[in-house]
Amino acid sequence: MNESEARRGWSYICKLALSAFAILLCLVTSKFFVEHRLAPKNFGLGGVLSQPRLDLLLIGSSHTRKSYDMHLLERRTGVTESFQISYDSTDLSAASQMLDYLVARPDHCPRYLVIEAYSALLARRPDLQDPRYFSDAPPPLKVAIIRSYLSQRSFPSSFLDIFDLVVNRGNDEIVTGPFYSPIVERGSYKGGRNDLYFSGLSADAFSRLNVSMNGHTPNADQLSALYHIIDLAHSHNIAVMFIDTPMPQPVSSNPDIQLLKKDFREILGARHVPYIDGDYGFPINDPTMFSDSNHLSSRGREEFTSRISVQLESWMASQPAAGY
Amino acid sequence: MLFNSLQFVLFFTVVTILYYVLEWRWRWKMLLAASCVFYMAFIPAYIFILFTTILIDYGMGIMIAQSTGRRRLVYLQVSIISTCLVLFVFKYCTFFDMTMRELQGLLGAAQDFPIAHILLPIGLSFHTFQSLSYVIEVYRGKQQPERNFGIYSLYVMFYPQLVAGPIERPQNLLHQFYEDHRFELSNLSRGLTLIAWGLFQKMVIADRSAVYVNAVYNHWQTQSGLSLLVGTLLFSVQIYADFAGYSCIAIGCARIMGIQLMTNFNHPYFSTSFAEFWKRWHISLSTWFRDYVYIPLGGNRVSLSRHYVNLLLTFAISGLWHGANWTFVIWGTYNGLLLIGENHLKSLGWHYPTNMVGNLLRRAVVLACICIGWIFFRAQSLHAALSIMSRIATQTTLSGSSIGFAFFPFAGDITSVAIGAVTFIFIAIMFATELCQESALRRACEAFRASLKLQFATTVVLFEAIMLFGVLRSSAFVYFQF
Repeated sequence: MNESEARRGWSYICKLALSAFAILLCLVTSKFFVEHRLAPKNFGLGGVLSQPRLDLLLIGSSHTRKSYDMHLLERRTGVTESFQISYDSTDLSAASQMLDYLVARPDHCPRYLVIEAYSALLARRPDLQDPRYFSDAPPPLKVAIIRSYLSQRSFPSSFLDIFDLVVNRGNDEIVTGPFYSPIVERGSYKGGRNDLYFSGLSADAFSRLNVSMNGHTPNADQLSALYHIIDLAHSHNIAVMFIDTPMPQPVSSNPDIQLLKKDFREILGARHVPYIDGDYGFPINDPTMFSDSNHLSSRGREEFTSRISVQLESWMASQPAAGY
Repeated sequence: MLFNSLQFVLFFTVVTILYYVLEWRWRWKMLLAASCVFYMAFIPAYIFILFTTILIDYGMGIMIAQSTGRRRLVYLQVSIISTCLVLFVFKYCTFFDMTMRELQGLLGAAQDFPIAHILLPIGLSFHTFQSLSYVIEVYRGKQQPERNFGIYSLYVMFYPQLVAGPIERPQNLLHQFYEDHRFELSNLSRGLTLIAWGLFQKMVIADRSAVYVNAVYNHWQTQSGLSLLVGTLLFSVQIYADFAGYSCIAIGCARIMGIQLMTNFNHPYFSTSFAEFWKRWHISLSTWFRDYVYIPLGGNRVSLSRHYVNLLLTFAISGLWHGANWTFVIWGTYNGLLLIGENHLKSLGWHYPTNMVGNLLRRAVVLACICIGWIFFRAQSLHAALSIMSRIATQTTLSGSSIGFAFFPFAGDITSVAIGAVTFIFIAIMFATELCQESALRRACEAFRASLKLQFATTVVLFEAIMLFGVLRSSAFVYFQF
């Protein structure tokens, strides 16, 4: 091999690698510190941080997004300073991270807190399925998310996941921000989405619904996140309640789900924290109330919001901090 | 071991360094060993099937060269039949079995034989065709038989093009394994740019489009006409970017080692006729069928009707080569019919105006007809393909809400708008780059190829695009299944 040509080759590769990684590092660092500022102002974390005052805060998954009509909820309860943070598959671990961040900022500390008691997720290892949660998170919360993720997973898959999350996710929203954010903002109200209509299922599709569960043993990390949320709420005088949104009967009747609901009920009962099982009294046998195996249709959302508003109103009125 | 995986980056780096560190007499041995490792990374046992075809064709090549008269033809036939038998057993047996069952079902006969489920060895169609081209070329006297079994094995197994081509000819590849390639910076730079462009096509264009295509085609019954139309257009982009991307990476990897592989794609979607399209699409396969099927059948030097039969037969076989399913046969036949129609119109003296508008119109018609063909290629069954076509024709509306909903399959939520927009931007960038190479800017593109600095900058930009916008989870190339 020609020595000088080989030396030029190595030099070329080194320069190429260094340039490529240096530019990538600059881009990703800028993104890490800036992207949350581009988050939509009435959806998710970007929205809640834009609220001047917060009375009622709902935190949950897509179930929360598709179960509460925020307009209707405000009308029925009379609470005007409300907001919901809902990212897909938000579990207790993610909810506790968000709450940690919010309670440290008095302006964003809610008086009443409703956490989604997503029973199926209680048995699952904490996970981050909606990269918007990470993208919208301010840097300190991003660090907390990364730390938590790395501590719960083994090398090297955890590092590859984090690389993917930090480097690769959310870039489309940044590039298209000038027209993407207005679209999201136009379709959102107080964190909920009003722009899409979800029709109900047919009787046939409803009868074919099922769910596959990975057991009914609560995950230790989820349990500790649950206790942490309760402790955090108590220490900051936040009235907290857990609500499991309705599921269609063929799914809800799954024995594992029933056992996990029981766990929720018992744990929260022992801590004197209110828990509402959304299935109770809700027409879970009516296919038109659900748009798929675990989300309410637009009609179901209206029905559920009307029902839960009554309970929320009386719960808030009974709290020592009442007076909204 | 996929090209778009970290394992391959490591593997390629080690093999390339070893290649240049070792003396020539060790290089091909190392490359052969590396190719075995590469192939065995998929399903190790299937290397024996590959070895069987190599052994048969190597032996037959020598026997053909040593024989005279009728014996040569017998050896050629033995080689072709035995190689095709391997292909039949592993690729078409299940298809044949299913077709027989369906026929028996139609005739009301008992179906008492067990169904065969054989896993297709990866890249089988590619390396069997490459192996066949060697034997045919030896038979035709255009290639000396290769005496070195190791070099011949490397010709069939050379890892960059082992599993999805380009399907090389012995005249182009074999002699290169005997050459003492010296390291050249220009090869390294050009090769890395080609690899980066190939990965960009695969990970940024094809894999992003695949999300939409899979969502739409796997649940076509519930999709709107507009979603199916967008899905079909995106599949046209996906299959091109996926396969052209693979070819680019293969050519780039070989280029770094000083080995030149043939060009496999030449901007096919800018073709102004169907004949031109097939000269630009999967060139190594198109020329293979032209040289070894179409011309031996008589090509166009026969009566018009026989010429059309030859075209139809060649394309039907080409369709079957792509996959063991009737949808592929129909896809091939459909493309054959397009070519026959084009030839017929030309023979009647009909032609488009040759001005700019006429050229644009020709391109649009060719593209539209090719896209219709892709529906058969992608759909899981004939019924699905016809239903999708019917839905596109009858249920496509262009209202504000239908356009909004047409974005939905990109992610299933509101982020679909952003993901879809970025995907379309990158598709536009890819075709704009190709348009530059097609147009008056071709000279500037050639100057670019010679400039190390521009290649350096392009590679860096492509790397950033892949990291920031590519689908980083490795997914197999579409053509691996063939």
